Amino acid sequence: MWTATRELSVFAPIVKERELRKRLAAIELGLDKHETKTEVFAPEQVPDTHFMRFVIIEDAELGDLLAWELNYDGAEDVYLAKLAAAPGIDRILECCAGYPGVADREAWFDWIRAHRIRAAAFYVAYPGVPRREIVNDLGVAAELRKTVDARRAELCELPGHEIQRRLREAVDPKLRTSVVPDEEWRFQLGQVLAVIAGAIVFLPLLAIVAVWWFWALLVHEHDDAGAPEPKRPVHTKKELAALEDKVRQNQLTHVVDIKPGFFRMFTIWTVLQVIGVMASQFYVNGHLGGITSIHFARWVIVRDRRKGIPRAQRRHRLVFFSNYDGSWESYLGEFIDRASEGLTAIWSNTQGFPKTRFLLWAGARDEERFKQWTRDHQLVTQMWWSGVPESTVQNVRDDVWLRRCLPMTLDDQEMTRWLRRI
Amino acid sequence: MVAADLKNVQGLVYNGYKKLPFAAFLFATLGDDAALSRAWLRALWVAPALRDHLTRNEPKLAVAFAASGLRALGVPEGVIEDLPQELKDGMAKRDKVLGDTPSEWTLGRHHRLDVVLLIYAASETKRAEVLADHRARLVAAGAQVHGDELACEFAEREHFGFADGMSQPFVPGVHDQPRAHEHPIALGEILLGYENEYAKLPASPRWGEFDLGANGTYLVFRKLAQNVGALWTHLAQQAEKLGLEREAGAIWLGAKIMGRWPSGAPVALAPHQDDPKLAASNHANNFGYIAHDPDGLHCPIASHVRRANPRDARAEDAETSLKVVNRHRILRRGRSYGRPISIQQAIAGGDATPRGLYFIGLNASIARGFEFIQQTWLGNPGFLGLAGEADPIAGPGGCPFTIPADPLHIRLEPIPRVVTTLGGGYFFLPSLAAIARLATEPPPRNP
Repeated sequence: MWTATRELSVFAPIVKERELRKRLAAIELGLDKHETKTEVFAPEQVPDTHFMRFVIIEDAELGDLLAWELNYDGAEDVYLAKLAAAPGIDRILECCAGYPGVADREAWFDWIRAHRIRAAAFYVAYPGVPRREIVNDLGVAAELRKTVDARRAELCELPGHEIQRRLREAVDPKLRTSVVPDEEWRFQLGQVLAVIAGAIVFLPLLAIVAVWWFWALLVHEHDDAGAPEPKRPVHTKKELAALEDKVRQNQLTHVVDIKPGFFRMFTIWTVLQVIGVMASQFYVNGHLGGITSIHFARWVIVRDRRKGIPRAQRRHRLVFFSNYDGSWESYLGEFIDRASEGLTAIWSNTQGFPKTRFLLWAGARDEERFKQWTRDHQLVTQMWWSGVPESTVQNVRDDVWLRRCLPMTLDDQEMTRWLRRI
Repeated sequence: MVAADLKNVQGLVYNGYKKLPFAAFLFATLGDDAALSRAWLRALWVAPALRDHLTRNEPKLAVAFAASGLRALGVPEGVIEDLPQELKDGMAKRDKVLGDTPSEWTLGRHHRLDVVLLIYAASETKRAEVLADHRARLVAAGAQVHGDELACEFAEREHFGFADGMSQPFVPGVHDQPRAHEHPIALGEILLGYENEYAKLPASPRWGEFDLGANGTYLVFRKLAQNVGALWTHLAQQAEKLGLEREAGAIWLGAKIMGRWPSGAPVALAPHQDDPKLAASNHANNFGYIAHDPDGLHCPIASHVRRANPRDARAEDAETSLKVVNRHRILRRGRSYGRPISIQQAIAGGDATPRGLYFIGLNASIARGFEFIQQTWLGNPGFLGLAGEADPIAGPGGCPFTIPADPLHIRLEPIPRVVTTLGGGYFFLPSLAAIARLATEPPPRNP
């Protein structure tokens, strides 16, 4: 059995903004000070959630949206039912237009599905590792370490497999075995082959499109104004900085308009498709193109569906949600140092991004401009919740591996590695 | 390679003045009369101690301003506005990033620290003379001068007993040549007006057409109290628990948490005992962690020097790592204060004498330099794959410390907080040309 890690993003127009803000603030505080009679929604009451956020995307022209980001385990239907069962969910969502309430389950599911937008690209640092298993394994690792600390002298005298056996005995049997069957991630060869086969069939067509595309890219990049010369070092709004005082994990919500016209939409969609496939097929070992600090991230294209607006004036937006380790400064540093090409390929199609060459180069490498641009389009996130607030990506991966190896027979080299990880 | 305009740069940038062992730091709040303050600065500008880098033994001086200090000199708000955010905020407001508790500070809590004068002299008497002179000048200019911050005589070791300043980045164009195996970094990482490690000219504050930042830098001043007794008694206790001899065991553990032995010899190369010859040799910096010690079996991952400069261990491959790490290096110009204490005395319980370090760091970006190192590398309990272990020396204290060993790790019981920030500030260290501009009277306004 393979437990997939999935994403859900809901975007709904807001009708009662003042109440919504108050209620979202109440979640963060853990209680609703003003209306104690009703239940307050609590993210931890939705099982199998890794990360969750609510953010209000303000826009005078397009109308304010509530965005709800969920990262979860298992099948969609099953998870939606868990969401619907969470106390207090109505109190949040009833502030949005056309909300039917959870009492009518069918209507509720329809409303969620009508407002969901599938991510154009989704990244998970530990795909297929359910939250329940992570929580279990963090507990196992803590017990292993406690045991080693208490009995180190005795254990050090023993051969590796005997240390492993005694440690296995010392750990609570409930924690010892995984709560879900272990299954390593499998390379989905079929999917990749299908893409390649498709590419071969459509190669001639592809070549024509590529020539058009490249010519259009040169024209667009030549005419692009880019970001203005920074007058001063990177400045951050106080409200954003105040949210980033967390040492271990932080979040980023970033919303920016995609440059108008078919060419940019075509390019960004294609790039995100490619990055989406890469993220699900290749970047499954805890790093996204060299960035090691992201737990979950996604890009969502929110289309402007207003009626009677000419195509060229439509404001399609790119929304980016990220859940990462450490400080903003180090996260942005990793972007620039290790993944500038990929990120430039995405964001150079959006407004105000630093001037880019051939889709991949310059752009994000322009450190001060890129950081200021990121800050300028970053939003204050009203509610953010992490299911593993104390752990980095590396901690999660280490501890899951530690627990998975606990019952296994390891060779000498693996055993040394395993023992060193405790 | 662009050479720095050295005649225009304050001497402290390229000289730690180790030959002038007596340092003092004079903090002042400037008066309300900007014209008087500018007159004071004009007099300072011609002072040989600020301009003359060549004569030995003569006292040397450096001057730096907080954002409030520039305001007090009459710099217009429009110019102040373009200063780095962290400079305008000041150190106290960055407490979350730095892990500080400003309500407990003794320096810079009750007073606005507008200006800091850094004074270096060959003898105590000379220092007292210079200090009295500048104190009088500031008072005459209407400034309120705060208590003396007097460093103890310069020694190569900091109070915990370890050689200090072993690894400084080499800045081409500022230093003549690198010490053996020092990693060169771009001049723009230290001085404004030059290309940095991103091959970019960073934004520099301008006053009209005049580039106020060029050849200047930002100075971080922190008064850090060191509880030497607390560190060594804890280590001695832990050594005994591990069945080691009290003093030798404590020193071994001390080397493990610091990452260098008292002599400065890197634990990565000298895993078992101190090696003063190695420390004095050209090889004191000739090592990489991934190359010599990937799992930290010699130099623990959580050790102070491995975090403060991760060298090749920050990324998957050494080259990427060095490139990344070079974007977060600073020049350190620290001096100690308080009477030194030996490791043996400290193991025996120490004494009540206040002592510590005046940490002084220079960087072209405080956010990407000093603050990044403090927050992301030292303060971060999840750095380099660690779990719940902040820096044992410069961290918040109370964290266990893992010493990788085969077959099983040794974990020290939580180390108490041994370094406490007592205050400080962020300052702009201008070029000499910029000092002249700051000291100039504005032209009379047309009615």
